[in-house]
Amino acid sequence: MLATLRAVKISREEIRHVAMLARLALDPAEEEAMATTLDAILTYMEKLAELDTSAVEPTAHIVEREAPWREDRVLNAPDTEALLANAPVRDGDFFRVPKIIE
Amino acid sequence: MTARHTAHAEGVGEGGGPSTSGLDRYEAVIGLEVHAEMLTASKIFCGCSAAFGAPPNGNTCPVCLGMPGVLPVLNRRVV
Amino acid sequence: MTTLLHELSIAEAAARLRRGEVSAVDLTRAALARIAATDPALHSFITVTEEAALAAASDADTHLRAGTAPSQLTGVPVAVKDVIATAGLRTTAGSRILGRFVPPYDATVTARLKTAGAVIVGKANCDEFAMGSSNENSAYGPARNPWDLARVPGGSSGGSATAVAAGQVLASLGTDTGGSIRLPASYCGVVGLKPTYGRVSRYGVIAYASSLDQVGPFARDVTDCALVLGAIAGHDPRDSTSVDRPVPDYVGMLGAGARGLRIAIPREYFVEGMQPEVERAVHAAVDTLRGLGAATCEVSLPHTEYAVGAYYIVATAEASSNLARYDGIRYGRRVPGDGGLLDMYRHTRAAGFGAEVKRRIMLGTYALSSGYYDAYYLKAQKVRTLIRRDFERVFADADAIVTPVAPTTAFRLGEKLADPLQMYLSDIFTISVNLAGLPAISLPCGFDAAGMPIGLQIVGPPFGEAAVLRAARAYEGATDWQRRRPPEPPGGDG
Repeated sequence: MLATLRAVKISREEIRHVAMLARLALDPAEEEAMATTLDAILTYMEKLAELDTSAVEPTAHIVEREAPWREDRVLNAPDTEALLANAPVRDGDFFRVPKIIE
Repeated sequence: MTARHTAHAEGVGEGGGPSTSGLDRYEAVIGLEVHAEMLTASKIFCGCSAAFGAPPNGNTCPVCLGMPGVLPVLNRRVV
Repeated sequence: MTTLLHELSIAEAAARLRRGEVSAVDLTRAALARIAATDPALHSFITVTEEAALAAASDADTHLRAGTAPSQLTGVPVAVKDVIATAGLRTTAGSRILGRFVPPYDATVTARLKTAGAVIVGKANCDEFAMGSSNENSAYGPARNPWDLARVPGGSSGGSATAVAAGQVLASLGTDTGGSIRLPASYCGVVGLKPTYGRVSRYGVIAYASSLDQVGPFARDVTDCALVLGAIAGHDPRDSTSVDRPVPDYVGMLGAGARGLRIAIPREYFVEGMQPEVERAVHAAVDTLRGLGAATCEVSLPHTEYAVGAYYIVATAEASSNLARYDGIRYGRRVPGDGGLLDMYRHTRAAGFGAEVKRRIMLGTYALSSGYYDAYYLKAQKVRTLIRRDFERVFADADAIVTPVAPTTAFRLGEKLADPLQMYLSDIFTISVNLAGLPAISLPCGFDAAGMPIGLQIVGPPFGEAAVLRAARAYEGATDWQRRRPPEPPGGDG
């Protein structure tokens, strides 16, 4: 299945779509360069299609263990000042953000 | 919630003309999106208080602010 | 006094500190002076923290005089890779997007070093978000290899390696996701160890690939490396992937020797196009181990050739998720753009991330996107299972696996920038180890004709750090490589 996916070189449309998903603004030159580079890398990765993995489980976790729990207790003392100190744009106790709703 | 206009033909009465009953012309498809607030003392992924009514950004920490390098730890009570 | 830093191991420094021959403040002053003099040429550091370091050194002296020093690391100057959070001290991840970020928290490994009394003198240079094999992707300029300033130190933990190699600090911490400790250790002729996944806490370590990242020590010799590992290893309730297993006395177990060790040599790690001197040095090292009483045999790890492909899907997919948080809202750089929120996100990230980071985010996003998830991400995770099984099979009959660290010694700055895929292939011998979550060390085993160091990799089974360290120590004890020092950098006074 991988082999057929790579029959067509990755298109500018796909690059634009992925860039939007990734929230990255790429200029036309970057889009072009990205298409070429990604295509070369993905072509290399087609090697994986050589392997029959139909009976293989994916590695979801490297270490087999039960999920560790945290007891439902309040542990943190509020420290708004320290936490807002890195805010790029701050408004009192708020993080100021660009308009979301028109 | 969406209503789907279906092409059920059995509502056609004698003498031609479409059935007048909405129930025959539309099939209701109902979806429910439920937001349930968990009654826990602390948040789902960190030890901040989940109490209502605190000042803005008063119950925050590096974990629930998603700061670089932090990791969540799951609240047993939530699950 | 700064020449002392070239000669001293941590063990020797600890002894002199306790005998009162030198104070922690002296040692820290010497480190800071050497950094000031040599870092313009080496660029090991993104941030140096003089005041806090001297304050910590002064505290260390108080403990040392009172006989209450918490560990052998008390008063010892160290560096920490700039992806590791240090409270109150700028942490950039080698990126412009975090150029002014000052975390209000310590990473767990930072806190453990501080509890041990180590003196953190600064943040080591690295590839941006730990993505790279040469330290050339740092937004702050590359670190340079002390053995030849025109060559790369390796990456992504380049600065952590150069700071130790050049005697600016006595030890450092790096991170290793696809070889980022072992490769620079090899290129810079120092010892670097990647622990088993889950052995050391990742809390406060800026995430690249969550199922692969591990923090590990750099040091001038195996004993120092074991010491630092002991200080940082262990369960952390804040890291759900850290394992609750007791930490052995790594230093105490070092002297067991190589007699009786069963060492496996995988044939897939000796490939066409390798630098012949590298191949010779590794074979010679295997001979040395045999001479020390180890039993060696050739084995096969048949899925080795698929490791780079599987890695660059899994790692970039995880990275695309981990780097989604850099959105200019709560921290980091923001670029407003002309439009609303979406526009701000896109421009902030475009301006704040370098080219390689963007490439990997795009690759990862593509691999996870609708229609491609099964073919790429799921497939890569299955190939990962096959790679793990290869190692399991070998470790059923072996205590350690020995390989080269890289196909070549350090290359020239700029040499591999034109073709990202070429750069990725530098990781060919280190990457499988991360996919399998195993512990592995790199230590010097020779030099090529140009005087560049060659590294030997020793890989162990899960939580087999003690076996790895024991084999490494036995080899080191029978050879002289770690006594060689790089030429003095401009500004140095050695």
